[in-house]
Amino acid sequence: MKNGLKYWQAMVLVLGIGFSACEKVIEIDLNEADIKLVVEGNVTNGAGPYLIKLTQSGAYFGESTYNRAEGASVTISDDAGNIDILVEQDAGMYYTQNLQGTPGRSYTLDIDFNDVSYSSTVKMPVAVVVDTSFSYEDDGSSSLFVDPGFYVLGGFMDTKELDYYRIQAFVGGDSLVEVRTPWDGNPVEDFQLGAIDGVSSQLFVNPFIAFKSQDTVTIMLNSVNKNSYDYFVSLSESKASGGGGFGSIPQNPPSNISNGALGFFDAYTEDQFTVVID
Amino acid sequence: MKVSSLVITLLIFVSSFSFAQKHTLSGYVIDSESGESLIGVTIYVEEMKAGTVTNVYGFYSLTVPAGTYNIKYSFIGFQTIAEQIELTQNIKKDIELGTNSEVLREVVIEAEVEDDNVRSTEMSTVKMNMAEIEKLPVLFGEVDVLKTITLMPGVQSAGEGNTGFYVRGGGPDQNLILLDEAPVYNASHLLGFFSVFNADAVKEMELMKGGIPSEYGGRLSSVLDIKMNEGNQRKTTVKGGIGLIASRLTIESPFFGATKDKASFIVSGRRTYADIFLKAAPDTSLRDAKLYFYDLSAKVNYKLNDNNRIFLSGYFGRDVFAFGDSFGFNWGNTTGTARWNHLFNDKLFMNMALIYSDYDYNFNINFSEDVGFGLKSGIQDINLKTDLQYFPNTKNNIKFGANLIHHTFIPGEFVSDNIDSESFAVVEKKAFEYSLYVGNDHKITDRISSNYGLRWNSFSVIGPGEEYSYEEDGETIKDTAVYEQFELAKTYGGFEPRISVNYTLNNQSSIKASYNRMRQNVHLLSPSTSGTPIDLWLPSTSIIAPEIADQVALGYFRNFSKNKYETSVEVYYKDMQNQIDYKQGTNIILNPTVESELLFGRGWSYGAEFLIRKRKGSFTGWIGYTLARTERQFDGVDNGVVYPSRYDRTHDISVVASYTISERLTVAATWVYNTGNAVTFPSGKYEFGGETINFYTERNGYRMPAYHRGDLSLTLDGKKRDKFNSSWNLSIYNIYNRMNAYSISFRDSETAPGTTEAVQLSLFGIIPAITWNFKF
Repeated sequence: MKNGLKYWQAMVLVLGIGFSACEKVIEIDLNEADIKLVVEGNVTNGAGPYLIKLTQSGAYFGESTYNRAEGASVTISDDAGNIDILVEQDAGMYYTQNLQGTPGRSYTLDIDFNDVSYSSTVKMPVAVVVDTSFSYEDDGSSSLFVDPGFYVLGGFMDTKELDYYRIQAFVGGDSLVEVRTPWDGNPVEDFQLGAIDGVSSQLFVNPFIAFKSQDTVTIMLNSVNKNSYDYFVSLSESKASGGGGFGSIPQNPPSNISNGALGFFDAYTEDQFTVVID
Repeated sequence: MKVSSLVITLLIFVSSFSFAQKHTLSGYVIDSESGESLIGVTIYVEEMKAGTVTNVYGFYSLTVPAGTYNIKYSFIGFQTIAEQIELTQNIKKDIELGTNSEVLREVVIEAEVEDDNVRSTEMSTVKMNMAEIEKLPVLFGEVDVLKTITLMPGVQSAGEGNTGFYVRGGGPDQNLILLDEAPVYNASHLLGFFSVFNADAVKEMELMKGGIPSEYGGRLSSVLDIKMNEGNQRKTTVKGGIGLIASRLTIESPFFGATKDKASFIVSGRRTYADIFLKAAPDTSLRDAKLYFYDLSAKVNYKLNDNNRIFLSGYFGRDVFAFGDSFGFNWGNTTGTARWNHLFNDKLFMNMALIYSDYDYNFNINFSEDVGFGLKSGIQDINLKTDLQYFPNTKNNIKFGANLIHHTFIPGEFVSDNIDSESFAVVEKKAFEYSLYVGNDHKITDRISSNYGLRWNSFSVIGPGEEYSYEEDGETIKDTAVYEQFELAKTYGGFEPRISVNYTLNNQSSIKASYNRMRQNVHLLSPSTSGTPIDLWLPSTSIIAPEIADQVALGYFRNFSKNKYETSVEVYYKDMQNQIDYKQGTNIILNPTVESELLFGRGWSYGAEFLIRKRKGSFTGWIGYTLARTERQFDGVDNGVVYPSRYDRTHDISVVASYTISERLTVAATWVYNTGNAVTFPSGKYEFGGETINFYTERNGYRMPAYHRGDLSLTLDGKKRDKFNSSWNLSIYNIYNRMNAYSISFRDSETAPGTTEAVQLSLFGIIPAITWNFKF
């Protein structure tokens, strides 16, 4: 229902356009903030190697080249005593050598760059495994939210605690939709993940978009932790508003890395399944 | 035996009073042409060097020792009347003041007693009556009450495209706007272009920015008290205007067949048709859009007898925005008031009122004929208040009373026409608030007068409803307490002391000082960068504490050239507690736990306001300048550093001038300038997930570009006729077409890929409007 704000925006613009509103690019002086380290990377329960990408922030105006942070020392260790020293195989791209992500473990990322130390710790949530999947056709007549087409569902056992998921749907390698959602196991309240009558203990992944006949659909389900969910939701809002008169008050998404580094170090589980629609 | 000793005691008691036998002169002062009661008329007793003013119902009461007195009744814009009155008993004297030169009474003296800005205890107050309002510059053919007060120092408009105004650094929900005593929650139409008050029906407006007397309470920063006309008691008048953007009509009349001054009514309506222009818009998708507002107010008054009078008034207004049949968005206020004036005796006046006030917005989306959904949110108040005024003598004017309010907050209701989605509502919140006050306007010595008082405010969240308590992370619900109807969930209470003092240096100048404490229990959540009509009203709860403000102000008031020029300089400092800010991603729509997404902190503002004003003559106007700062500090924002509030504007200048060129031609102009709002802009950027992300360092560390604008208005009156009068008005908004910034956003460049750019959106260029006004 954040649409409320969008419609308000539309109205302001309508009134403005009716009365000669205009938009123009302007010159503006912005401070140059200190250069910050930007961390982007994650550990999953899939096969390694895992990538940590390090870049640097820059001044707002000017070319959008983001310097890679080269020559940093990056290690990831877990709470089972494993330590992996990452190797920089490309400028700013550091890869693990032998670490295997395991659900339930805590992972600590330590970075030493330009004589400054950064650190971040995340815990990988419990894994979800999709054990059934099928598709069905809906002609779209029953509900205003449903377009006619084929829908795909995948079933999994939920932990009944408050979990956060990210669902992606791909057709032929193109990601069609990405949804992040909390889910506390209570079927009545959540309307992103649905429950099917008669099967009470399983929950179903439903990307809520319609596919066409003959599509090869791959659905990826990640179980993420709350900090990750908060970070990415905040990031998408920040991208949407871009400052200005509409939208929420501009703030940086809540990074989980120490010493003022930007970005996010994530640990999540993944599972995927593929359905061919006939 | 006992009885006789009692009688003797009584006689001695009574005789001791006869040495200082006092009598009361009281009555009503009305406009001789319309019978409309006049508010704030000065009644001055020469021999006592003291006096009083008429109250908001036009009633005055003077108690003096027996004797003969020269009494002057004066009011700005009207001819002063002086009378010699012999007071040997209580006298009821109603007075009629006239604006034209018709002689109504035996003796008319032109002496000026218009220095009440120097002599009254009022400070930090802007007051305007109809006569002055009509002389103001006109925008889109109408004089606008809200636009006018934003031209005064210390008051800032929220800006183009925004509703609301800011007073001395407080937010738009910190202003109590009263229309005939009913609170109005959203006072603007059409993105702040028009106020909901039709100036044709307004009798007087008063804005108190500080030194607020104890009879008012409920908001931190100001009280805007607007009184409507009662309705011409003497003859039927119709006035109105037809313009390019809006039209309005007001009809007032005594009730047919009623005896003189017994009963009258006034009905006033207005509508815009701004959307007509959209039909010619180049973008075809806009052609189906509807954008308009309307408002309607009606008032009836009936004089039962000399001591009792009844008023019934109502207001209904709505803004509508729609795109064909598929999407509609409307919002507005509805108010209704029933009031009873009762005179217990010539010294004790009472007003009792029952008030209903409603603000809500509605959102409708229709996918097809019978499939759609709606979202609604709002606030409703039912209010019973009683205000008594006691006039024991010329030195004291005592006010006391009580105000009981029942609030109902509807934080969000989602209704679906579709079988799949269920209707869903965030639990309504109900609250009961009561206030008691007592205050006195006291003329202590010749030079010193003071208005002091105390108000007690209590606020309770009551059932039926739910109150949540949260875990340490502040977000997960720990416990839900359910309350039955009328069960008290949480109560807050506190005193609000008020005092202002005037020290008169001489006839021309005075020094004033004031202190007030205000409490506020209704809060407007507005997590976007600028306000919108979908902002959410919430009560104080167990999580949200009442906001409290303490303000001190000091001012020097000086008139020049026999009160032709008024000048003042005022400095103030206001401290605000329990201010509200938002965690990242706060969602106010249909969110039962929205209070867990709020942050609480402190605010303070301080500044200096300068004003020079000329109120008489063919050239009138004023220049106002405010130099001010307002800051906030929240533990959860920017690591607790002090940052400028979004309402912070360093400089604010207004110049207003009105010149009567000839009997029929008046020209008026305004020029405003203000420093831009404090905003948050990026100080860098980085890449994440393959996209450019803005990097912000300090909250509100930047400024929007300065805003300035000039307006011009020309009014040509038709030839003065007996029955029918008309005038043409040409008004030009933003005469030098400055494209002021509404917003600045930052994005990837469309023309130079690989770079980012800043884009400024401006809303309104030059807008002319022609209106034809009439009166008969």
